[in-house]
Amino acid sequence: MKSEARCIDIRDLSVFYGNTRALSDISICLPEAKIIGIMGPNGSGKTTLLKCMTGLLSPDSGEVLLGGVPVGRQRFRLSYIPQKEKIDWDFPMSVRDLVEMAMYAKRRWYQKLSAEQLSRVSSALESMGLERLQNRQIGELSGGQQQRAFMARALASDADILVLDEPFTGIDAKATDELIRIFQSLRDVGKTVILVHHDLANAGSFLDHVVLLKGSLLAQGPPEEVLTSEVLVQAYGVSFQIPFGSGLHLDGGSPSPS
Amino acid sequence: MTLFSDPVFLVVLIGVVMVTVASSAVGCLLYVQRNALLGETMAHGCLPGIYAAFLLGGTRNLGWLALGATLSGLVSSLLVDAIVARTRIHHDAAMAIVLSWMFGTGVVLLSFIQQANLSNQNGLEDLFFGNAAAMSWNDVMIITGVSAVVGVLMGINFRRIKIYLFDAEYARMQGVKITWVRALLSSLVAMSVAIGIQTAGAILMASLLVAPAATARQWTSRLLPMVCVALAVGVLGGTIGTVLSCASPNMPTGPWVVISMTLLFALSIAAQRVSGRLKSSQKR
Repeated sequence: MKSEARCIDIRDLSVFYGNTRALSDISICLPEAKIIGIMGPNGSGKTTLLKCMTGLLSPDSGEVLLGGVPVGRQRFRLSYIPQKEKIDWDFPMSVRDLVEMAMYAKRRWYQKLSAEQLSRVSSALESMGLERLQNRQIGELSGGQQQRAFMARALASDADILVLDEPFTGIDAKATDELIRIFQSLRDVGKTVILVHHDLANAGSFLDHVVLLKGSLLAQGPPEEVLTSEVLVQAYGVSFQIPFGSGLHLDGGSPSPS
Repeated sequence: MTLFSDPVFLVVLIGVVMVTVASSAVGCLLYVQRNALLGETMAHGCLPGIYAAFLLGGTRNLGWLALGATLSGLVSSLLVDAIVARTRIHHDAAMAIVLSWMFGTGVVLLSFIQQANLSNQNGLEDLFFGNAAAMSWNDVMIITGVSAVVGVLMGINFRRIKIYLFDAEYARMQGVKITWVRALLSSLVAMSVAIGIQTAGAILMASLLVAPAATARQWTSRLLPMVCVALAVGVLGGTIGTVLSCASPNMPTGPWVVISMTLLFALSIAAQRVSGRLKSSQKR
């Protein structure tokens, strides 16, 4: 057996929806303390894989282990940040309420949050630059701020693995850059950031590790090894030129077929 | 004031207020779930259960009828869920189907009871529009008891319910038992509807659930304050409606309560508009 201490170990994972196979025989060992992008065309099983990792979906076969222990038994280590469209932004809740949610499971119904928990909420809000917006209703934030509010909730819960489903949807280039910087600083303090990602144009610039899916595992590894024209033709049926290296900015932002 | 020293009026007033306490609090949960019409569906769904309970038990005791109401209200909610889960029919259409079907069944059961000419059947037809004036002290005790149960269950589970309503997947990751919370929510609605039917009737019940919540949402953007404001609006609307209906003879209480609550809602919107204008003129 390999050393599994610092690795998210996905073994022989298969998921069926009815008779349709959504994922088949995925076996990967994802490195921790990295920014990991799960990529692939629509319907390739990205969200399904994410849900198996968070324990929201039990696979038909296979398992996901964290440090050798099934993920279902240590969900506190993970925090899941859903797609923006899945959230009701009109829900009567302030930004601070949202972050305090991370503490609910740890308190009984009659207990208020402890001073230590309140200060953790405050420092999570501060680290995401939201302390002055904490009393706003969540729908009154910009797209980037909304994403950061959910990040703050994840940080307050002390999870060391953050799982995000398409975090860049509906936010502008500046907010995207900010979010990427946040991911990088989290990685630098040892957190693992796993995200479903669509934009091939910037994938090479900030992802440390790419998992390319198309129902089964097509390729995985550092982006410059995975996102090659041959593999991308296999995945998308079209060839792309992917720019690599950090700090690279593209005009327009969409990949051009060559 | 002579009205407030009249014991018959006081019994009705306490009963109506206790009904509005439960329904305004639970209504907030339905409101934020964007599921306001589920209350209406369950209110219509209560009727067959009430009449079946009467046929089985031969008594008009409110506790017994409320039990039948709660159970068949839950059945209607389960039917909606089953239709949505097993067919391609959407939630709104499923509710429309179940709501009318249950109501129709209730009407058929009622005509059966009336034709059988059973003793003790007077007043059963009042459950369409409600007849709070017929409330007895015993009814009020039952209503207060159920309302207290609703309040306690909601208080104990408030955080759980809040996480679930906002983000069910996150709730699951936090270890919240989703099936349990869903069952709890349906039971809370069913119980508050069951005790409210005598006041507002199956047809008007939705207003008692939704109007206070909708009014409260105008004034606050957080869930707990919203529940508190809704409670105040509900109790105020219930009191105004009861006073208005009892002040003149032969006035139905339920419809007056509904009218008062809706007026409070309209006033609240008007007040919002005015204060919004004042604020924007101050900014200039």
